[in-house]
Amino acid sequence: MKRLSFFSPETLLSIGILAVFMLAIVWPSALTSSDPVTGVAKDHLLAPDRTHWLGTDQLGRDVLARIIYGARETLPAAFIATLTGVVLGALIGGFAAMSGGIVDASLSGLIDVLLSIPELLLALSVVILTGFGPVHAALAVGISQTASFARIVRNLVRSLRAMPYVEAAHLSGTGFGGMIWRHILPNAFRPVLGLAVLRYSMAILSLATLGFLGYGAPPPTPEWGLMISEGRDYLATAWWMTTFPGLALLIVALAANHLSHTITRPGGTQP
Amino acid sequence: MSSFRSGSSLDALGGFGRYALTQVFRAIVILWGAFTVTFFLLQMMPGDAVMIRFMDPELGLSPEQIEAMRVLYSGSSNPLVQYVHTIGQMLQGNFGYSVQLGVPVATLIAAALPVTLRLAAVGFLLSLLWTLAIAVGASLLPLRWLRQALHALPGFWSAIPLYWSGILIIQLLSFRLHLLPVVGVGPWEGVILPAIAVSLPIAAPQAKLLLQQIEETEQLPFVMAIRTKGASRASVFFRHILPNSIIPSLTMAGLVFGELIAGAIVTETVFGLNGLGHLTREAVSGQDVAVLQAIVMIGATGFVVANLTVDLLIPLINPTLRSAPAGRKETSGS
Repeated sequence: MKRLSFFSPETLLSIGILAVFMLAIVWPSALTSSDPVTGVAKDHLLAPDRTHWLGTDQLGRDVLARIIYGARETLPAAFIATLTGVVLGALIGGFAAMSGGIVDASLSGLIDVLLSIPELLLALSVVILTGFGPVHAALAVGISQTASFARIVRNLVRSLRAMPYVEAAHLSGTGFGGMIWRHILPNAFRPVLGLAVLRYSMAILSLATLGFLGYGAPPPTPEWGLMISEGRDYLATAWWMTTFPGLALLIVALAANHLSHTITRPGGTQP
Repeated sequence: MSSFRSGSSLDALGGFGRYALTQVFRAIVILWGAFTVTFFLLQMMPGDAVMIRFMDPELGLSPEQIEAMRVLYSGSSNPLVQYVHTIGQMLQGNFGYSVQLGVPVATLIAAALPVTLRLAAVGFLLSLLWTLAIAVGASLLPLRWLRQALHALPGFWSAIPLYWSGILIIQLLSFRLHLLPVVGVGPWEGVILPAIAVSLPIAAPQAKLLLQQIEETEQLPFVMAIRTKGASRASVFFRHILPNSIIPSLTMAGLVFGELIAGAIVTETVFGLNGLGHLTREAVSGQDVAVLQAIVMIGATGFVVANLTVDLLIPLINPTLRSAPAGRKETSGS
């Protein structure tokens, strides 16, 4: 059972889902012919049917088209957020672990302090500092994720450093850079990648939360969190306006989650 | 402090006393750190909130008056002086003034806190209920596919956006089934629907950890021994497996508290409650730094106190940890 885990049906399905959303990012008009921003006013608040598979919103815009174009808003922004978190976290955590002593102690203290602040509040503190907008929201989410990456990278590098073969390399004269490049990085790569993919799915949800609260992209943008927020006024009449953007979020987050487990699971890639 | 170094009075407290003091000291240092980080982060604000509000030409204030306003709100324009001043005021229970509304931050917080505390308390209790129900169901239900479905449920829940589940709950329970009204209800009834929404994502990581732990405990030799003696499935589960599996879930308390706060901010927006979440939104929209800082400190304090409580309780619950409390398990990351 374990042997086939990397190409299990669930994993293939997750990759397939992410591939469809990738297509939506690079070539959205291949998936829909409707316009996501300007609607047909007479077709407003239509229930899902054969022409509008997921219905239309209060301005007569096709919900499916808005979800497809919305992938372009949330998914790359979540990538930027996670990249920010990974790079900053790896730099801080790696630096702390390689330095040791008082540098490690004080950086670890700082990480503990940042972890004590709920992530959403930390992200909002950054948003209040930088102002609203999609790029700012992505940075805010990335910075709020940094501490947990830093903590895990630090612990990982410290345990790798204590490995006998790394000590042996050090004693046989391998330099600082060589140690990191030849021994630490290759072994830290997979766990950190697994964590990054997991964090990516959380970044998608956090970004949609900021969008929902109104701190992300401004209104005509087809952003999923914003779509849910706009649909809130039509709860009693148009359930499709809030339900489907949320389902899109759920599906992407689950697919990324599953991929992360496949990457992290021991024996995941060995046939 | 001198006794701290010599250790004479601490030795009298015994191992647990020393452990407890270290944990309390650690908690205070982390809180001070959280205050310092957020203070300097928020002081770096590009558009000084005081300036934004009072430089509005319609008010017609002179630069001298603006400077006077700034001194009134934040004491001084030198960040270090402000830092010392603010920390001194905070220790006396004075959290400064809201730039947007001109009222003391403490008054705003005091008005908003009860709603959020009710929401958090009910949400937390519900999450414990879900967690236990999932654990019991996934272990004892007769049908195999049902047990497997329950095993997969926490992973599924954690991917659900909170505000979305809140909206679905309103749609289902209020608009379709007419079970509970959303507006015009008492303080506790009004909190039931949002508490259900908050409890789901909190229960997910707890349930996941508890299920993992139950699986590990089931493999232990003593469980096998009791089973071979003929004890029933249910009695083995409730008397032996569950009590031995529950402690790791406790260590997630801090994380859970963070989720509760985040959950409150979003859920109050969905359900139109006027709690801390509502205050947070207003503070962010109006760049009201003093209010946001107070809320961040409430969040950090809750996290630290929750972790401290667990750190102090665990050696009491589990005697094997009493001799060598090596520190709490890491709860960050996944």
